[in-house]
Amino acid sequence: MNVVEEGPGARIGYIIQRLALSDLYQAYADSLDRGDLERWPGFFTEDGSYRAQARENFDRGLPLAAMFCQGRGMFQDRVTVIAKVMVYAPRTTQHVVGMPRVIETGGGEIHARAQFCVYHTLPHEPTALLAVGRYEDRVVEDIGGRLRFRERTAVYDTLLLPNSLVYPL
Amino acid sequence: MTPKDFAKQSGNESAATRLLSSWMTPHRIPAAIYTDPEIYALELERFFYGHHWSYVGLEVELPNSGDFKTTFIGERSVIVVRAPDGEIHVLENRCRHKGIRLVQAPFGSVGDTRRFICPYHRWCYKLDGKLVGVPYRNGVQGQGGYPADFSLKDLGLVRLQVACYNGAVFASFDADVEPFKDYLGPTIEPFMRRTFNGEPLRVLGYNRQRIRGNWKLMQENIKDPYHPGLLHAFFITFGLWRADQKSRMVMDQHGRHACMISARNLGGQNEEVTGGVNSFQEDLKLSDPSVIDVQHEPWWGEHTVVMQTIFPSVIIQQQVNSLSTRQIIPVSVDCFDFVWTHFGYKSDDDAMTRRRLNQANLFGPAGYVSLEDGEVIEFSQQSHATYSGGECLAELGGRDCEPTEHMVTETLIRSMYQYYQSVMRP
Repeated sequence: MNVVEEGPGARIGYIIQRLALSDLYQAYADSLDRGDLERWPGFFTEDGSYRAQARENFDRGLPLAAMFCQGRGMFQDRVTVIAKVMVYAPRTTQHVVGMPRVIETGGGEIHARAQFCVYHTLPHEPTALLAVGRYEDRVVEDIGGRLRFRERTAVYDTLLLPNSLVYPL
Repeated sequence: MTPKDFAKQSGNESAATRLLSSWMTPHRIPAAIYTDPEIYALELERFFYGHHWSYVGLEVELPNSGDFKTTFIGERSVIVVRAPDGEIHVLENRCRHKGIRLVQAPFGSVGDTRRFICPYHRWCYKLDGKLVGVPYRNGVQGQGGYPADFSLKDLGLVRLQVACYNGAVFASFDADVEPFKDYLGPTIEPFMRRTFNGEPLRVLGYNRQRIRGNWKLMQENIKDPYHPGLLHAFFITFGLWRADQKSRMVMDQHGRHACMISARNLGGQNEEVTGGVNSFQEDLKLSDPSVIDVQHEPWWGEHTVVMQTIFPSVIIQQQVNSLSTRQIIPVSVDCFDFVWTHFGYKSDDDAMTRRRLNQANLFGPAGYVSLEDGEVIEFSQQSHATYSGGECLAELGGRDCEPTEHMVTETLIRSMYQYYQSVMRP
């Protein structure tokens, strides 16, 4: 079902929906970039899934993702391992996320898409591009009216990642 | 007098030549072998372009005739293609006219043309490399054209030696390279056959990363059973690796290839080696154990982890249910690309595929353990670059290069460098 229906009311509804999505996308990026990793699982539904996946895999229908979580437990484990277990050079990230577009709605879900650019800054180095790509998302509204990702796939074009992908895209 | 003799006599022998002539101790590794461009250029010639086999892919990546992929051996681009008769050819990606790369796409199909056509002057090659057409061969309206003795026969795309080993494809620039099975040798080949056992494969996907370190540091990493129980806190914390688990370090007769073999559930064989190994952060628990949900597969036998380093170009990974090839593509003396091809078997059910994908969270550029390997390799390179006279040690377990029945040793690193010295010595 296409969301862009005729009439001024539909158009206003669509704009409001895009703004609400944009809020979600910006909050997601903001919490990662401020290092507030603990909040990351909460952007997803309890049974939600996340993939950081190379575009070559996505385009060819190959299931491998560099990072894959399904269900709150796997998200929490990813957070724990990043925060407490793994050894890596310290770094910060900045996401630049485009205005999300609604591709389709139906079945209580919004299929939305937005472009992203993620820069990372490591000690003693100029800021560099980490990955560029797009989000392919399935977003749902919970009972309290809050939007969450049921599925988020960060499809990155960056064929050769600059070594490590520490934080989620 | 050869130029080399002249250089020696005149005292102009390069630092690289001096080092490679005098380096005799594989347990003491000069940092210059990670940073000297002259040594790196010689490595490309002698290993990647010389008397060795390099990994180029899996047969299952090219299911149909006309399917091709491009990859690299050393810094050179090659085309891997399935010909109409089903045979796999590996060709230099280099038109014989002006040397340009014919094919740019990482994967593709030539379709019904069954030809590679150079975009520049339309030279046309069959999938076995044979040159079958050059425009204006006989001139245009009686003018120009190629000389009468110009022969297409000698101008095919250069064809490499190819070895298809139960679905894994290797190639060599050297027409006189030994048969692939002999190249692996009798101690390594059975482990290759264990993973590539003839069962049809299924590619699950790729991870690619650029690591700013010398390519040999990656080979060393997977010949080093000292670090997994120390660097990789994930392994320790969640009980996946213990220094006392039953393990074996095996190399081929030359010391260049190796297998780190271990059996996760048979710990306690070598209890004396656990001293000094901390178990990190005992309070941590996984909320969802699916990344370590292991199911024994019949082909494993008693081994749960077998990491093979096939010198110089690839690592064959079996970490419980996670299988991959990890191709090492040198980019420069201080940089390599690391290409992971995760796979399973065509006969896997959905649960097994899911298991392999869940366990893949441990590997690749975001892997709970592999991310750390990429990081420490860069830390090493950063330091080597600023201490060209520096030296690394590989003396754990002694100074010899023999196989062991435990993992408290750097014997595999020593054996690789013993081989390296024999090939690189001027």
